[in-house]
Amino acid sequence: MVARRLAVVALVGGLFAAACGNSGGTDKTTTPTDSTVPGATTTTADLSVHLDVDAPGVTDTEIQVAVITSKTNPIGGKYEQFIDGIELFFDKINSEGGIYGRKLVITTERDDIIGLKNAEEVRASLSEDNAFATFLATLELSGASLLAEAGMPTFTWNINPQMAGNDNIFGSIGAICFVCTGHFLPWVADYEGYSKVGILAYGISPSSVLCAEGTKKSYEAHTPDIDVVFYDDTLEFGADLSAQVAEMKSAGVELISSCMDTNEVFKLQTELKKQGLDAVQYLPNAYDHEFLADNAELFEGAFLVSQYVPWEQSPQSPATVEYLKWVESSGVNAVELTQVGWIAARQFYEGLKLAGPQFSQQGVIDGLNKVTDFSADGLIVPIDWTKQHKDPTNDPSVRGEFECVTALKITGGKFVPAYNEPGKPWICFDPADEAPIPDFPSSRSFAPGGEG
Amino acid sequence: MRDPLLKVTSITKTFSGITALDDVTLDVSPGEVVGLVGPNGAGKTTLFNCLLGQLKPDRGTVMFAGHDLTRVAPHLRARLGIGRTFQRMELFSGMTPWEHFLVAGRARRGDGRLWKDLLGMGRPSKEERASASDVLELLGLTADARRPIEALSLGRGRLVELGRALMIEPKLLLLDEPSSGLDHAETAELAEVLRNVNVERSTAILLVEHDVPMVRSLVSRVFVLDFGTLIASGTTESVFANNAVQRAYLGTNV
Amino acid sequence: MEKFLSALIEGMSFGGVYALVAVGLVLAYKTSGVFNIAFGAQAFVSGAIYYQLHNRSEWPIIPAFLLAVVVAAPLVGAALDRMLFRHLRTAPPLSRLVVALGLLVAIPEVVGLFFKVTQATQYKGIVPGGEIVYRPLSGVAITRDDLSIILSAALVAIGLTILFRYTSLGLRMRAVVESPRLTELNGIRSDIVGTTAWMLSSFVAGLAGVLLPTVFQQVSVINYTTLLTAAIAAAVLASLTSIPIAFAGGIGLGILQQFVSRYLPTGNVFASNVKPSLPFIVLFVVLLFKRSLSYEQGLKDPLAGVDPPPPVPASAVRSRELTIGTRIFGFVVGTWWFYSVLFLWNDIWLDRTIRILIYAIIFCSIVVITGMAGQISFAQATFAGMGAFFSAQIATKQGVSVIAAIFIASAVAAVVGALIGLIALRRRGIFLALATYAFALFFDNTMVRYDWVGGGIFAIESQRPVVGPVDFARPVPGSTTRDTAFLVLVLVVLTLVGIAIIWMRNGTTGRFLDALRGSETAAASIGINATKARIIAFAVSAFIAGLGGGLLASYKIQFSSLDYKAELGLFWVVIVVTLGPRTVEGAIQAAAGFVLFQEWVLPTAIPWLYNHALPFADITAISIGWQQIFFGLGAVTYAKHPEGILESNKTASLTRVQGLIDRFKSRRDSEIETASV
Repeated sequence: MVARRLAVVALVGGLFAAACGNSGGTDKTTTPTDSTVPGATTTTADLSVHLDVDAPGVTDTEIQVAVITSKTNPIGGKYEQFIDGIELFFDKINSEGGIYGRKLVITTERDDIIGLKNAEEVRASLSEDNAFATFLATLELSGASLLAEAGMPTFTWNINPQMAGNDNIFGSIGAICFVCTGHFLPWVADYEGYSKVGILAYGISPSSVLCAEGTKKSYEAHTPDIDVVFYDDTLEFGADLSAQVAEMKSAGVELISSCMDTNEVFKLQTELKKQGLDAVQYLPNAYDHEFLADNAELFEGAFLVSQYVPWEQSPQSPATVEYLKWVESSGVNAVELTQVGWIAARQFYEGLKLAGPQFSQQGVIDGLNKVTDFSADGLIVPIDWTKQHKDPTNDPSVRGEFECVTALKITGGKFVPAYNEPGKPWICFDPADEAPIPDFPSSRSFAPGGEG
Repeated sequence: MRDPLLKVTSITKTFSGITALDDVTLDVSPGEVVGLVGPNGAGKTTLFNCLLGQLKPDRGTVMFAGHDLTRVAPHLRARLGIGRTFQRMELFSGMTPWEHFLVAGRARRGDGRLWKDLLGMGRPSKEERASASDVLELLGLTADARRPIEALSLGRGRLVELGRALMIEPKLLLLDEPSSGLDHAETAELAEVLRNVNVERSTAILLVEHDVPMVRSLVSRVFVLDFGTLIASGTTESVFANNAVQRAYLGTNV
Repeated sequence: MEKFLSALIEGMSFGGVYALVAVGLVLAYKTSGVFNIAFGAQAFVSGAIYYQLHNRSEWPIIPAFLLAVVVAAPLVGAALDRMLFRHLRTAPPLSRLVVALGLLVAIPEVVGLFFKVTQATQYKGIVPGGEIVYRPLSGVAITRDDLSIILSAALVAIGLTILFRYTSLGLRMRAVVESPRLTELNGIRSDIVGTTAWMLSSFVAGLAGVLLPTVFQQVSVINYTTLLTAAIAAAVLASLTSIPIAFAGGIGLGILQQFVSRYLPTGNVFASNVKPSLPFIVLFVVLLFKRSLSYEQGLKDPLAGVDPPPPVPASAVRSRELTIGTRIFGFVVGTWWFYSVLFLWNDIWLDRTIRILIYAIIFCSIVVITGMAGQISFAQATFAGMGAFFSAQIATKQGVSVIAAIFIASAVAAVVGALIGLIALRRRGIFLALATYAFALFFDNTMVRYDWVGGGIFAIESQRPVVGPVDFARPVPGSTTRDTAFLVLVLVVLTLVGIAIIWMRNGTTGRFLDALRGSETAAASIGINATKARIIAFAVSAFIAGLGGGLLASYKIQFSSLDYKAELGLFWVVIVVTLGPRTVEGAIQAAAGFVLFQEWVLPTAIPWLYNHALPFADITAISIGWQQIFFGLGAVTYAKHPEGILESNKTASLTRVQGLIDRFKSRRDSEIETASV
């Protein structure tokens, strides 16, 4: 009982950061150039050299890591599947002979119960697990400073503000600007011809509130013709939404941007249908094929973004093909976080490569912190670790170089990539705050081959 | 005549239309033993509860040692010096007689001060122990002092109640049928103890009792209640000779 | 008008579910004297079973419904009656409440062992096509699911009326309610009638359980908590006696909630805080102003309501030798533990030890309020939270020293505690407990959201104290300094609190409270002021909780309001009550249980034992839910062992050892005697 109730509330915080974190890049000084082909990091070290290494968790035959997930988290988030993704990538590397004569192994899996015991679990892991690196997919990251103080190379699904400022923590995106204005939503609304927007968020979660604030600011900054006619950032989790829908109906809302989790948007959609309000939803955190299978009909026409190049891209990116091959041969039930785990492991591997055969924990950290374009072979927007550890909220100079998203629409019961050119999954905007929204954004690929 | 210790004037109490007490007036002088008798339902316990503040009378006043008790809370009446026992025993379960007496002694000395407890000064003092021992001895409970209350016989339990009331050094004891449930020997023993208490401590006693021989052996004056009305009062002999009293007891041979 | 009608209809569907559980509560209370707060959990059982069968295994509606509601729910009720509640008829009301509380904590976790609660969303109700919308008037919409709730509630209301008015079973039930003993004399077996009533009320709760998720679209325990609180409010409104009033109260509360929701502005912080808290506010207000609750209603069994004597603490049965023996043993174990923590074991054990000591301080507050004053308070986590929130606020914003801030915050908690004690005082026993619970939920849902209190649910920064030359700052991991300074600090605080409690118990306060537990009227007869004594107990208890809460926050550096949720407070009561609510020792045991069970026993120790005991066994961890199950079921024994299981076993074994010593001594004495002769 106790745990369940807590879970619900904690969940609220976690997911919207991810949902809203896509408004990451607004670097005025850099203009993206077409010649950039990030992701292909270079290393000269021979990956099969075996030297004696004296580092925690490193034996003659293994490099051992610990994983902490919010596995006991009954309401939302399939956090445990993060581990599957790490294991898949480790299997792939180990089948190729490992690295520096050693295999990559997960030795401990810790359950940060619903994200509440993050600091406790991190502390326990640091003193008991003897791990070389730590992977985290948790709701809270209150153990961030402990990890930083211990100099632990850490790879996370980044949804928390605490990542910022710790140069040993590498997320699947850089440090998040929760309140920056973005271009994507205003552009979509404008492009699709919506003029009245409603915004909903949970009042009990600051990041959800900030997400709503950022969304509102985005519309106001870029599309003065579009009115935010309904705004409620005070919702209780699991609240009854009938009053909100009634008001949105009388205000004539056409598009709803919410900062809520999947069950809440489901409730919202049902209530919309009940009251007969025909508005389109932008769905945060909905790139979930099980969710789609259950609700395709209800959400027909809704759109969303995914955290990495979606599988539905045609042609599929080589990195996606590789990932799906391993998913298929292993038989795991892959969800969005599985691939985030894969990407985290991929980043760790990159760090090991850069550290060289005489690797150490600090070597991995230092190596990655020189990388300016880590994209996991094009699966994610390139991260520049020379600056993206820093909190970008008030410092545009440390924001990422690109403001790109992969958009999808639910059409005919499927996720269908939208607004991009074939082979170029990302649609990108000029990230400068004052840049106007374009008529149509440019499409990009960050894959090493420039395709997919 | 000395000023009465307890003066009850024209107490009236009704329960949803039924008059339980109708204009009852009585008094008890310091050091005096007074009986209050009457058949079941006569209003004796209601009167007791009015005296102790458990019930609020509709009319009438209760004066005690010069204080008007009308607006005084029950626990403060105890501090003024009214001790009582209960018809249905009310003991502190889980405590020994010794503990009963100590807690009553402490209550007598005024409310506990939290800060004293927190400074470790809350333990029973020498004087408290001494007076508790005295009462134990007076009541012949010394042997049972450390036994849990549940292990004592009914008679002993009544004595513990009495001792607890004595520990607050009352000027007046209100005893509600102290002999009920006791056998003859125990009743006699109790009467003896009460006499000692009255003599040694010159405590006034208002005794509600069914057991007429016991009443006769103890009290100097008697009040008789019937259906909420005082039907007789006066010296023991004169009252028990009264016809109305005989009738009220419905042929009970007094 | 549209708005009005919409709110009315919507309100009736929420209210229908509330009404069902409220009826179940009253029915069970009247027939067995148990205020079964576990009905929320029982409703959850049916909801989970139905979801599992219908949504996940795709059973058709009718068999799924029959199994979940018509079979499973009454079976659970009958089992609880036969195995537990039947034997509690004469137990004091508070014991019965604690037993139900234990079930409330344990049942959802038992369900969780079989039912994957994750993503139990997109619930399909008990009528096909539940999402189909009817529009009787323009602008007014009602779904089939809504209709199913309103109709079910109406059917139950009609059915119960017929049952009680016109059937012999109903008449017998009413008779049992009036006087179980008298009924027995008339040849009616009240136990059978009692079981029937339990099955009936559990069926009604189960029905509510499968209906509730249709309005929330998911099966989630929190919704059942809200449901339960609303139902409690309705049942209390009915003084726990009148089924029609409880029913109407439930419906009325649902409608009121909808009106509040529709007519208060959206997007307003105060309004949106009030909406979900409405059931708690209503409950609190009803408890405060309903005069008839001053005296415990319901069963007037002469045997009921008399608290059993608190059993003698183990320390009282042992002789001097044994006392010295146990003290030496305790000293040796303690020394060994602290030596190991300081010099042998790694940092995590130091961390765990510190947290055990802090929780022990918090749990000492339960020793005061429950062990000494004999009251159940469900707001201890809230008082601890006040200590944490306010000390962090004062220390961070006003720059007050951390230790002083914790003291000020604890004093605030004490004042609030005293107020709660004061206003809730006339509500005895379970109503007092319920009032504290309503307050805790209200604080959680409304106050905590304000920045100047708890600041939402996200991490709040707090600081470590600096006292003169000693800085308690957190040491850097990997360095040679360790958190020993903080260990010493909490050890000192716990010792002081422990001594204060022992002195209180042996001093005036404790003795007065003991007397009050024994007999309130008798206590008044010797001049004890019950109000004052209880308020002192509440205030001291809240102060200690605040102290512990503040220390916890300071230790963690970053904490959140989730560390002090009301539900956590329930679990704390359960664990302390299980492990020993009467002594400081018991509080330490409970704290060790609380911390170690989920961090060490379940994930490490039990799997290790299991894997070493059985060849080829390989289990990695035990579900964390077992903690709730274990201690929840532990609390169920409260009625039998109000001193706590551990304490009672300790008493038993000490008595045995004492027996051996005595026998040995008497034999030796007689030998000496014989020799001397």
